[in-house]
Amino acid sequence: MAVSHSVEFAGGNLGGHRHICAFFNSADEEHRVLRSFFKDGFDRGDKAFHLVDPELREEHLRRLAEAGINVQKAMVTGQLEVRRWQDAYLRGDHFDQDAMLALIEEVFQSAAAAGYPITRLLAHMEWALLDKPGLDNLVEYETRLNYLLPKYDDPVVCTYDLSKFPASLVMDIMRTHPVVIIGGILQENPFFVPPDQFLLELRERQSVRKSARTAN
Amino acid sequence: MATESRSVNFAGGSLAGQRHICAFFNSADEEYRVLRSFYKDGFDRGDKSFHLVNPELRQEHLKRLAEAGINVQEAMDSGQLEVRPWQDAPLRGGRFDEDTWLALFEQMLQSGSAAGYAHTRFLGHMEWALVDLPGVEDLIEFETRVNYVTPKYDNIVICTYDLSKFNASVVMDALRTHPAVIVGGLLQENPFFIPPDQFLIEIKERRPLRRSTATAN
Repeated sequence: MAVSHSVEFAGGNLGGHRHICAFFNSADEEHRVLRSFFKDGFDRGDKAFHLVDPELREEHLRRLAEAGINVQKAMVTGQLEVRRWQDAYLRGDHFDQDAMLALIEEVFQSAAAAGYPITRLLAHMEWALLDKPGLDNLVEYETRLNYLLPKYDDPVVCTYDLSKFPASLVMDIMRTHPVVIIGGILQENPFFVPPDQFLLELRERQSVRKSARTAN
Repeated sequence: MATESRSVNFAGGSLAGQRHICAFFNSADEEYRVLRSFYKDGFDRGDKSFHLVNPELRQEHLKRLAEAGINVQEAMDSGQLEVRPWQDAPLRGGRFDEDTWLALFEQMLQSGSAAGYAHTRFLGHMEWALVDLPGVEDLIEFETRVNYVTPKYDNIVICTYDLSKFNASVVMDALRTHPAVIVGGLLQENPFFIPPDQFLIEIKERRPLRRSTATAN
């Protein structure tokens, strides 16, 4: 990690851990809580890389504009890049976690090469609820991000709509993020499980499931 | 007021002052594995145990306690173990009445010490809130109000939530209304906890919002 860039939002200040999970009950709540994450980033000249639901893309841009961001200009200069799921997580109509990890690293590196201090990455995670191959690797992907992100100063915010995800998945997601936003407040997460340990747990679950299948 | 505070160890953690605990599980196996020492140590130390369970799972619950090495029959005969089905507790009268149940809950916490037990270990399976009866939507308001009651006693209260049954919004609210939480089998102080004064305001603010949405449709 080269220089440390302070990032403040949702009532908290980010330390070294920059993989953040944000749980929301509505888009209103999301944009209210993340407003300064977006706005401060633009004001400071950071790159913004957003991965959004294609159906909500226009709505997302409208909300950014409401937060005082010159969306058109930022998109023309390349400071703001808004990518649809099918051009990121779901390239080739399936989820390939290795390809996605590589893409994130590529985004960070090319933004740094273009002179941006940091990249603020936002990811709407509801793509994982679509019916596509590979989606059962979501939690494994989230835990593996914890190997990659400590190499960079770039904050990554993964948003989860609580009205859409099942509770057991939400708890796994919580356990794979060292920082969490709940009720609009950002906190270091005492429930975080480091990736070595979490991958082990995932493997144990798989073998339990497999032996249960064999038993039936 | 808590008279003396003593240490309680289970689920890989140690409880300091916070004794209203939310426990999230994915299965009954996980629940009994994680809470085993909470049950067993309690009996060994002579604490009172008060359990609120799903009536359909009562026998299963007793069987699991016996497997943990507890002499269930003897404990029930002596009154050390009291296992109540939901309909004799939060769902009395075929509905959930928050005020009535809060008062009864406090009586339960007091009854142990009145009977000479040093401490009471209270366990509530919370799936009663998923039963289709009037008032169960007050679950979260009840949970936050429990935080006015528990600090007066040196008793442990564990509310278990089955993650395969509750929806994620309710689970997050449950998380925010408990000062200590068990997730992934580990007990931790909860930085996401919101004190009841503040949470009650939040609940009140949500209501007109919901009402105006209902009117709009």
